[in-house]
Amino acid sequence: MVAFVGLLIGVILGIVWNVNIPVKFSPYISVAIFACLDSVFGALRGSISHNFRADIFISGFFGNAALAVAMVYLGDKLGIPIYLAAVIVFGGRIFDNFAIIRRLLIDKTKSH
Amino acid sequence: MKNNEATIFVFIASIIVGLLIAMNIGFEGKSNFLDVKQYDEAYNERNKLYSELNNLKEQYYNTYSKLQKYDHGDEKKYEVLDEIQKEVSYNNLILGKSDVEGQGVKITLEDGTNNFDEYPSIGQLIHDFDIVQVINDLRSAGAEAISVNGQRIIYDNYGLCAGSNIDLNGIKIVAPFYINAIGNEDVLYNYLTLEQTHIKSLKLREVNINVVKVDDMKILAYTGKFNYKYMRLTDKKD
Repeated sequence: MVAFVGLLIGVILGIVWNVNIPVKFSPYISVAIFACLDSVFGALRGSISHNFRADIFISGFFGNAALAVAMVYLGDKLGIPIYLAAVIVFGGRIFDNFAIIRRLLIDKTKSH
Repeated sequence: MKNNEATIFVFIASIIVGLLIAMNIGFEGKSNFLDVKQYDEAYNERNKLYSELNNLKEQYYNTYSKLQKYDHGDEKKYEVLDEIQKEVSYNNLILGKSDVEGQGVKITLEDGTNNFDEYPSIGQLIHDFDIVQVINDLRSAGAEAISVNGQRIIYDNYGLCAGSNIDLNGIKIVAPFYINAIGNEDVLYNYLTLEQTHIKSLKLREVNINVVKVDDMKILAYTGKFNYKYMRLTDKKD
């Protein structure tokens, strides 16, 4: 719930400020968004299962994004779509996390 | 406490992600990504532009090297003169202002004779348009130089009937007509004898007609004047 509200606020802020990233950087930001989304899902899961750690979250949030951007850059230079690796890993983890969140939430509602 | 902290962090992180998404998408109707078709089109467009660029580069190079030759004319005056002379003679060759020789065909046209009648019928006479048609046939078969009774045929020649003779570009010529044409002799000969040309219809009209291949013949230059009053060069604007 918090995540959705935050996303909405972020999107609205972005529209209001109307800042556009140059087309050149677009693929980098796309992968970075994916990495951040993965971190957010991980944080949600952590908060639900009560083992959230701020330091791990923050380092993951920025570290993953930076690593993903670096990968895109390297792939661009080498001519290999390395960013696919990032996309697949982050995508898989987002689904994993979502599955776990789902289970936890359903268990919670059942136990009540 | 821990949950609260997590909520705050997730909230902040979500805002950042949302901001990034909004910035990346732009929400201005322009997508940064192309679908397959657009990509294909753009790719083709790029290739086309590249090849165009190469052509232009080649053209530029050729022109530039030509210009270089002219620019260094002080040292190599003779070379420049040679170059210009070559161009002039080439232009004269195209225009028909120089004698030329080569393989080709010789056509002889003569009014048909009738043994039973004193006067040949009108179909057996050769008219101005017959000559014009034959010239047209020759040109369509790829003849490069044509002469009629020794008169070189150039771009602005015309034929007129003037009674017993034919007025060809102001010069009166009479039968028999000898039409010479330089070009690929086989092509010309086959075209004139096999295809549905005016020569064929002349044959049907029982005109005396004779086409022979010649390995080497000479066609003299056009000796008349080039008259023009109204046309002039357009200003070339690049």
